[in-house]
Amino acid sequence: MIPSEAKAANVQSLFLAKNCANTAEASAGGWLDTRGFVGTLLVIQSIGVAAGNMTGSLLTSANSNGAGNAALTFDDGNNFAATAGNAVEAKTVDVNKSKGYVHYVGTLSAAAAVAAVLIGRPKESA
Amino acid sequence: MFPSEAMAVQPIKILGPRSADNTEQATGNYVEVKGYIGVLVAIQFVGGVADNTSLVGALYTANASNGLGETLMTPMDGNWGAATSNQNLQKRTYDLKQNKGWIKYVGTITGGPVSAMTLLGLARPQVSSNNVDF
Repeated sequence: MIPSEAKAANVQSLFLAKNCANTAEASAGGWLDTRGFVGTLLVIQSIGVAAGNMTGSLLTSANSNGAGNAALTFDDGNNFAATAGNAVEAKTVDVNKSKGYVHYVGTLSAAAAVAAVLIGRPKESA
Repeated sequence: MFPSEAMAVQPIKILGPRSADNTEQATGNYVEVKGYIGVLVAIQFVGGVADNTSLVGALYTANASNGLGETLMTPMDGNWGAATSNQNLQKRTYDLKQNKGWIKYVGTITGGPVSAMTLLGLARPQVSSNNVDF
């Protein structure tokens, strides 16, 4: 990466490293405030050992509690692809598509180790 | 991030998600990391850390998958901090000029175990028609 972008990149947990038994557990993360970022957000999903397939997607809301949420579409129009495990995938989304908060939804057909992070460039205070 | 940068970078699984009782189990194999330019962003997540346990990460580089010519890589922003509590997330950056072609992660565990840990890399592939030396 360009050094300035690499150093400026701020990494936030969307769904931090957990063994999940089902979709409810893989979607139980919080709502992440994206209002301090500019440009494009990079979202990375990492799946470890999985007993079945899983996919990942994002929701966005204007409220930190998720009220009135809607699906947040990645730049390529697709959610994270179904994977049987041991896979890492990255997708981008324009921060202007976020209403202010985003939430990760992992959809599992069986137990899996799941992690997801969001990387963005903070707005400059000046 | 700059859209061009965010879209161009590729994720590299340097250590897949796992639980580890000790340093050996928290150490990956050498992963081929060739054809990238600029800076490698390394992201370490640790889901669970047992009481009285710490995990300290490090990256090594070598000339071959068997570790030939292995040397420790130096982060641009200071060494990894010790992960001593659950849900620990850290990022470090590495100048890829240090890279010899293969990279592995070593997680040194004192105590143990740790659960749901992983090390991801992000780097920009070299574009053959527009080489730029950052």
